[in-house]
Amino acid sequence: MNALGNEKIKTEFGIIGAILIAGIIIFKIIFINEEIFIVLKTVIGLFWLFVLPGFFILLRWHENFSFMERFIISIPISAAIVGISSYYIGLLGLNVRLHTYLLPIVIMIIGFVLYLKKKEIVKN
Amino acid sequence: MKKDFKLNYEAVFLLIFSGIMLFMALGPIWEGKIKHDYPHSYLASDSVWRYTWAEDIYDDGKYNPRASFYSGGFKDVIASNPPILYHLVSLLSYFNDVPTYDNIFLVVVIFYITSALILYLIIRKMNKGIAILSLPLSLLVFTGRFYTSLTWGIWDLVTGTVFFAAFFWSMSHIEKKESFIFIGLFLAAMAIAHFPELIFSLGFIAFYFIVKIIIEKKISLSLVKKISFAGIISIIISGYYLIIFKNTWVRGGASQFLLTLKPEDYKGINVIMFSDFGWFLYIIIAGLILSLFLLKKENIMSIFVGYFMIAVGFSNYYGFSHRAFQNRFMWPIYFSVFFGIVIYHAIKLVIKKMNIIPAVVIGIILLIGISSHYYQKQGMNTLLDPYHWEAFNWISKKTPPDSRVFFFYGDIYSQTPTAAQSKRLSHIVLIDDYITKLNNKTITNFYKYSIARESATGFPYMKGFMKFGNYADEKIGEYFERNKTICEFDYLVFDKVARENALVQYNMIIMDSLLKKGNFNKEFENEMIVILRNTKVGSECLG
Repeated sequence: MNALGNEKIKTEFGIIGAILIAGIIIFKIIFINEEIFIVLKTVIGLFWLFVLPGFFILLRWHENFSFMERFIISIPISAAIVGISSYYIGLLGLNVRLHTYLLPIVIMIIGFVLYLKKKEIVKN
Repeated sequence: MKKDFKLNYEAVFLLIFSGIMLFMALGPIWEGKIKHDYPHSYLASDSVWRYTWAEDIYDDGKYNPRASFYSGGFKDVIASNPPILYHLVSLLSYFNDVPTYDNIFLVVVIFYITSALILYLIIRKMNKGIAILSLPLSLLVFTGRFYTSLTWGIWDLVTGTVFFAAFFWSMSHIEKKESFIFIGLFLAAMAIAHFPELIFSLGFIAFYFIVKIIIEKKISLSLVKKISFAGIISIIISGYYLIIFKNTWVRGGASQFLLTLKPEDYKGINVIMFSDFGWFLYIIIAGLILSLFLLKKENIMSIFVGYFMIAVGFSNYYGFSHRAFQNRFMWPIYFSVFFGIVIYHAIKLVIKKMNIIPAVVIGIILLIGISSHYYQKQGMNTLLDPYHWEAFNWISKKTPPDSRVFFFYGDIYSQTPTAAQSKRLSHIVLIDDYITKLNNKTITNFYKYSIARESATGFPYMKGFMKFGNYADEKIGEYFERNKTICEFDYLVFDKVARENALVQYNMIIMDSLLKKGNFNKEFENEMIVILRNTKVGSECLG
């Protein structure tokens, strides 16, 4: 795990950005009568809730799985972790409205920390 | 160092596939918009009840308790429906300001697409060309009778399917050291999304072990450890919900689910048969036969998944009742490997060196061919029209939360979740009694009614720590269906337009009589509905 690995991760986030833009274009073509702001918020929202959390969790395994595999599997991982944690945290009393922004951030931080820890182990 | 840009044809193909799937799913029913003024393409009462689970979370900021106006007026009913989908939908609604009744369709469609892409990943391990050529068959989930899984609200199944597919993916990587983490996560997700898929996945694990024993004559300890750890993880994650599930959905005992059911005896959703594949069936059968010759190859998990899902689809004959029929809606995704095998080998007879570009080109041709053949605008059929929706919105925004609302005759109220969209405890006149009074030319203030309620698991509540009761067992039928005076209701709703003209005229005569007496004021009116407010609740309101 070295500068090459970091470069790879940076490239991958660039590709995610490109897929996001492609997604916005596809959505705007299909939902041609919809306002652009709704399209933007919807596609960004889908990435925010259904891609990024899982993708960050899978960073730890970035050498085991290809980018394509991690991107696709990040969707069920995000759905599982965000959905399940929202359920339990909601039962504990935190208003679900706050989960929208809080949960993905927390999950991404956890994912990034796990990635850094793996980097340290490999370095040592 | 300058990086050479190389177009990833496979990625482009997957984007095109995803776009076409999205178009096939929502193009026919959404008229080019994401956000709608009222719920579109809700064709069954199940789908209306489903979205109220997300709406409940969105309104209240929490899952428990279920809103009393959905649960017969009881204020402490436990929300027992598998929560993952509804939480995700409400979170998305908070983000993009699109109503939950629209976002639930969108999220479910994303899950259909993701399920197909996950199966693609599994097939890809065997052969990339077969994987690419397999995807077009998945489009069939949005055609013909398969499409009703979307429009009739069988959405928990779709949510369970995305985790089921992810579980198959994680099983295809079981040789990896930490695979148990993914297996455990997806087992838990199935438990909290749609329980039958969890049962089927346990069956798949057993199937996997049996195949391993047959081929390798042994089971490695490492494999047993991984599955055990996965099981422990899944129980820890899903344990709380499983307790709820056991005391609500399974309160009658597991035996209620262990039933044999023939398709012709089933009164619920469309039952998918092999004939629903049309001429694709011949290709799938050929693929099933061809795949037998591939069993000695490596990375054939996708073939086993296909065989397994045939068995699941017929599990109605060995105890899984209608759960088998639900999984049949996903057969185009699970059988796509057989389709891909045939197309791939057919093309290889002509193109000996089958690299990615011919596969992508032919794949795109198949996608365009299938989508253009099957795409059919459905129109905006829906249970809920804009006039009723306007009236329900008025009630939910302009009336006190504990208002009791009485609905006289209207076409849509035969589907009880419609009236519940008013977000008030809704009482719907019972038609037989109403017709009797009409025939007797009676103008009275006493009418029999039923309370609109969703009661798939009854009305479970916590009696104490880990002790469950259920109002459905404790309250007798008369609690939900009564004969009471309309003078005790806060609001009365009259439809001015409906199929049965005589009943509509009766509505209007009663309404006019009430207005004449003077206890009621007209508070809302549009082309179809009039809503009266009772200014003297409890007083004699009809002379």
